[in-house]
Amino acid sequence: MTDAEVAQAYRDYAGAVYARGLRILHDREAARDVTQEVFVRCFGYRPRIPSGRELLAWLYRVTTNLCLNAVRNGKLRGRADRDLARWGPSAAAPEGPQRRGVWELLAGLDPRTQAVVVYVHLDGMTQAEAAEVEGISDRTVRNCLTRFERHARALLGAEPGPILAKEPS
Amino acid sequence: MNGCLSEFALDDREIHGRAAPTVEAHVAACPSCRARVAERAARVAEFETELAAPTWTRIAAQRSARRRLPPLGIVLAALGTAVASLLLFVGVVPGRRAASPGPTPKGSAPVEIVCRRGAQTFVIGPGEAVVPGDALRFLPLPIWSEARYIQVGSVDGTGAYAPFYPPADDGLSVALPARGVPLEGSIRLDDAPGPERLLVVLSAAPLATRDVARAAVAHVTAADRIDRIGGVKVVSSWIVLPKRGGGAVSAP
Repeated sequence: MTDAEVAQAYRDYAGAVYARGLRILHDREAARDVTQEVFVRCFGYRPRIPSGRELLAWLYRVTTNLCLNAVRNGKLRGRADRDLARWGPSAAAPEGPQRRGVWELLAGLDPRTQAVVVYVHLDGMTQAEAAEVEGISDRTVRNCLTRFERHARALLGAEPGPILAKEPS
Repeated sequence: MNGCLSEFALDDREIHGRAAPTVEAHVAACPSCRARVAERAARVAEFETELAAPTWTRIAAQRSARRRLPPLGIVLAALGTAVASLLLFVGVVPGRRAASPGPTPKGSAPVEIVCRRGAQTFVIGPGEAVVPGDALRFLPLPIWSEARYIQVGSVDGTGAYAPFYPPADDGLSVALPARGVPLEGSIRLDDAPGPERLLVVLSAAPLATRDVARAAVAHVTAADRIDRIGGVKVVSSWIVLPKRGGGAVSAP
């Protein structure tokens, strides 16, 4: 991509990147910082950046990773937890002392699994969409979700069943 | 799925203007999806009216300052003699390193890193913290007699690999300079989250930076040595530098 093409991508996609950052982080300044970093990387990685839907998938992946990293940094955990609580109370995760923040459930997992959980449980992606965005196979997506459920269930001491019951946004 | 669009499908539909008729029919009939379309539009409009221009200015400024400094400026030129002296000095410190006929023993650093922070210039080693704005120079060490080329890059706290030498993603290994001569220029660290996990790769044949980047991302978690890249025997080493400021330091 030329500089002009990156600039065009900014015009086409920056609003969506910002909206995505805001949706995950619930913090305008943090979402703006993420948007900035995404497009700085767009310049840095431009020789291999695709276009169209592939570009959107790449931007999703980078944005998600940066958001997760911001949450890992800790400053936004409270906000993000409150937002992600909207994923819905789980039948296996009762209210009260056993209830844990979603980010706490994600904390011990590898970044890819964290991202897949966000795609599927927060974004409502199909497993095929999550695979497309993350650039992995459907099977790897399923493995990530299984890993997350096993991990969450172990933390919660929960019986088999849905860990996160997604509510309509 | 209940037929509602994912965020990704929604963005694809809004940006690229294409969706299957069944999808359009669902959106038209689904109050939840229509509300999400409206919410998305409001957020995008907020960005475009209030934030797009100033954020682009920041991006352009950060882009120009990122990673690679232009040839050392006047200030560094004035310090050049002192730096060179320092490099020569550390180059003869007993026990720091020695030429070896074969691949480096585990743990031997393939480069000496000189850090310039403000007016200070000092040698920095694994585990020592860096801060955004630090300028790093790399002095290759003669640890493998077959080495002819070098690549240096870093995986930052977000897991992204940034090539330093060569500076381009589609580049090839740079030739090792003469013994005792640092790699040209310096690398200024940006405020990307830390730690900076530097990967130094020595090889007898030039490597594609893309292959090195791929190997770096694949091995960064374990921080294990990489012995082959693209079928070429290499000597590699990770140098982890915690980072203060910018992003938080996370475990490699």
